[in-house]
Amino acid sequence: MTPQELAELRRTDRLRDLARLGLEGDEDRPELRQAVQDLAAEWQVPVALATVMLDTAQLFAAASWLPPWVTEVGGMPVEWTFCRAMLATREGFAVSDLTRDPRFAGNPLVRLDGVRSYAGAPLISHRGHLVGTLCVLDVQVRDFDDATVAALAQRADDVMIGIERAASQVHQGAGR
Amino acid sequence: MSDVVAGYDYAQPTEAGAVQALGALVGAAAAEPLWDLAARSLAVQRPVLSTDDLCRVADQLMQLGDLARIAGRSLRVRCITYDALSGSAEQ
Repeated sequence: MTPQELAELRRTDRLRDLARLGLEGDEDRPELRQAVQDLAAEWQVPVALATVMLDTAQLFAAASWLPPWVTEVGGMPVEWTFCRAMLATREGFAVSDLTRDPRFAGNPLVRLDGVRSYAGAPLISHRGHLVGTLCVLDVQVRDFDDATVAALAQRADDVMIGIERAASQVHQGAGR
Repeated sequence: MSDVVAGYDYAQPTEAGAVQALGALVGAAAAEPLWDLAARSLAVQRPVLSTDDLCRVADQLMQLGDLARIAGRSLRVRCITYDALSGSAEQ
């Protein structure tokens, strides 16, 4: 991981914002589940995820599908995530063939689990923090391009609006 | 039992690593007492060695404020990852 990624992961204002949104919990989030299922179906990818970037791990807040052992874990060590590259750039990106990208070719998910392509966009809170990501994975090479990233970014913005709305309703319900 | 999962090159989580990660969020001076409080409240002997016990302390940490909750949640993911990959959960 780069120093910038590490610093961003540990930023306490980012993590407190994430907690404000209730994203560190393991509650079922039907709205996120629906969003990733729709995304997986429309893009015909096996895996679509809404994730939360904690300090040393990435949580899967919703997943269209995951291998059983990953489902059991509910996340993964942050050093394995493709999404962490967005911590520095705050921009979505896509990789059509991860085996040909020096940043990711050595990743165990690529070497051992057969993940071959990736596209992701950041979930940026209303307070300006990257709290998570919306991403898709495939075990086949995909023809991802700038339009893919733009479409995913729009979806991510919509998902973030839903997360903020849900948190606002929880806070109002709690009288906060 | 090896403490690194071959292929994944993934080391078994340790108490020292967990306290260090907690310290990165709450400050080194606060991390040790917080960790100690969580372990003592469970009557878990220190140093905490097994991933099962680390997970229990992680769950306890999650009751101790926003940043401790995040550190605990992360630690839990890291411990379960190790158990899932190493098969130690079945041993």
